[in-house]
Amino acid sequence: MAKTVQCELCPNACVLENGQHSRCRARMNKDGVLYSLVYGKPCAVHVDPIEKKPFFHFLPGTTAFSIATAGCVLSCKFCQNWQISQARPEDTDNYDLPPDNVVRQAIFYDCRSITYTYTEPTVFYEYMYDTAIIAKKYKIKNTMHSCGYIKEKPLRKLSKYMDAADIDLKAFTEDFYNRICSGSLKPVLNSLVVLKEEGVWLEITNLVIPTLNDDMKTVKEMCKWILKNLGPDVPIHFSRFFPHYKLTNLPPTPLETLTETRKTAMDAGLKFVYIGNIRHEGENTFCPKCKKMLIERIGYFVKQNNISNGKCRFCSTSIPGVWS
Amino acid sequence: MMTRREFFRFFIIGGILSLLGKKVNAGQKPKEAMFWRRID
Ligand code: SF4
Repeated sequence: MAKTVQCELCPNACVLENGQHSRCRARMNKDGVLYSLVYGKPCAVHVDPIEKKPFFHFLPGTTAFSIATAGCVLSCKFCQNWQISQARPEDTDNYDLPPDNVVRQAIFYDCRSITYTYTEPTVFYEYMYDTAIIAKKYKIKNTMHSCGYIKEKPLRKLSKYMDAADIDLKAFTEDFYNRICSGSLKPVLNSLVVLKEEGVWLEITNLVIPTLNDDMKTVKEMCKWILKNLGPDVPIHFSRFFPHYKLTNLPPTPLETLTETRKTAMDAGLKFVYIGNIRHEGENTFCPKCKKMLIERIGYFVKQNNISNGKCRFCSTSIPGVWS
Repeated sequence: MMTRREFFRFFIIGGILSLLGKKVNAGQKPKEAMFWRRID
């Protein structure tokens, strides 16, 4: 009897013969059953400021208990965590940390949220899902930083327990996704819309890479798409690229490119546009109405917060986000 | 609501024990995946 299976979790839709490992390295067909090899076995466990994810409109100034396992559904040439994202789970140092222990540790370390991050949480979906259910029971919020490369059905199921998602919108062309990440753009756009529909608090991160995705015409198109499909309130983080992994031939993103990108996004109508991985006033939150500074940040740390009950302290304008 | 007993069992004891977490190999006790199908 043939024992071939097909994974229905991400758009890669791996077809696996008996004994074969998946493209994401975290799954395997054993005797005709598909297994997750990383359940309860994170290779990275840290307590981080929530700003590091980055979330700027979600419980600012709090800490997030952050976990990841080995593996990823994409293979981005610029990956900053490639040592674990492109590794097999057998090759990483893993903790034995079942879902109830994750929640226990989050509470022990006084974290308001658990973040599924660093690699791609889709590869440890079952672990994330079970942990999120327990966390919810104990009033710990769930957040994820994901590339959004996941099928709609599992994403909708997960959304019931996910409070916030930061999605990497890596570029706005299929060519970039094909050539640089070995993936495609369309499923990511679909995930953004699904998360919005499901009421998950959404932020977007775009790593600006010199010559690869810094064309302002395409940036403008991307921002117009966000405005039309997700609305003007979704915060977007333009992050500075540093040479990593297979893209060591490119220079770090110049500050001028980042400020131009930010201006393009704001001119397109997005209200909360940030610059990351570099010290700049674009790290701060400003009231879209009275223009006063609401949250002053220095790197990942909040220096002052002028949002009170979700409103600007100066002009009482409601500021979108999850503030308590 | 969490009882006092649950609090002790879940957080204090568990928190301390889990701090002693040991490194293990992945795949020792694999878990069946949630989204897949047979294509025989
Ligand atoms: S989650 Fe992994 S096993 Fe499943 S389709 Fe995607 S790459 Fe393949």
